Amino acid sequence: MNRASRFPTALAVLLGGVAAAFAWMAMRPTVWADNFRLTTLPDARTAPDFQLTDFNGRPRSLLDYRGRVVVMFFGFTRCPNACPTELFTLAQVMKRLGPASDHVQVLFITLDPERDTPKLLRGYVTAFDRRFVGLTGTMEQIDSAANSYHVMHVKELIGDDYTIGHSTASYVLDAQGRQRLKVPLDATVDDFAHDLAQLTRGLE
Amino acid sequence: MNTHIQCARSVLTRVLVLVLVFALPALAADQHAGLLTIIQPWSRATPPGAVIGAAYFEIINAGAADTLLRIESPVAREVEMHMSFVEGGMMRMRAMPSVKVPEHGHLRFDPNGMHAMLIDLRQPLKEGQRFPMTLVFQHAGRMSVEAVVGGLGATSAPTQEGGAHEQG
Repeated sequence: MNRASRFPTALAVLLGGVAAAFAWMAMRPTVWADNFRLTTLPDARTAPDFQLTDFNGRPRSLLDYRGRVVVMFFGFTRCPNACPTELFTLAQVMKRLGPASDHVQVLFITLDPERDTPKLLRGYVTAFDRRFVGLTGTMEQIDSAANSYHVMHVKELIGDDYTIGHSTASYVLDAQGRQRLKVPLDATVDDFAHDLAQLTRGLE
Repeated sequence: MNTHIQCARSVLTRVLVLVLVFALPALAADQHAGLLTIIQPWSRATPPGAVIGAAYFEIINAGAADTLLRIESPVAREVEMHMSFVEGGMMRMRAMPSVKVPEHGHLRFDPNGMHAMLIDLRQPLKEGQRFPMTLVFQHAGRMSVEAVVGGLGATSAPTQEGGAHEQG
């Protein structure tokens, strides 16, 4: 092998290396560059879609909210503590975000479609923030949405009535519809706002 | 002369204090109500249309054990005592038919545990509003208090002086 034939080989190896480096950088999820305070969902999978109806009677799927950061919380209006507290926290987070809150959509999905009528849902969620949206559907549609987020819920008798036990974490999807954060009930307004601000960066 | 009177007064005061200290346990047998104190009864504002509210308070018991049998309030069709708890990753609730108030102890109803579930509110609870609540004890009988309504997402009793203000 002479010098003349060795040169193209070395160049090819070098170019290959550079190409591989670029490919690795491009494939590397951009999420790593962010600095979150809440629990991140590392694989950032595309969030499973749902078929629900908003409190104005319009059929809704996740695609309708693409381009915005989505916060999903599953609850019911007869919930004494967790749901009003979480919605209030989210209302404070929206205030804290200021103009960036225009890029955030909070969705409250009822686990009690039997009693949470669209009208009741509208009055309830918009009392916390006028931009919040309440979603309902058939029990099958709601079950399917809850299952795809691993949200557990169980109807339980209490006195001569029933209540609903449920998971209390919220889920945050980025503007591309990928699952990014799982937020516990006791997350602070500070941490929640901090992480949503990261996700709204660069959104127009 | 003057110091003599002061001295006599001071002795009298001590005797009175001693009499009270020893007499109290005897009194406790008959007057439970005097030894139960209900502090900071509060609730939170409810959104329009909501039919459920929750109320909280703390009971300080300076006497023998008692039992909280039920709670009544004109703001709701019914009041039940419920306990919230986390089990299997879910926030769940169960009804408490009655709740023990420990001897020389306290009992707390707060958003992380027990609450008075106000079922079928006659009207939404408004921030700053006050409403009556009667706690019925096995021994102490009926004790009426006035609950103060805090903001929509209040997680603790609103401060008394400033009224009930929402944070943020």
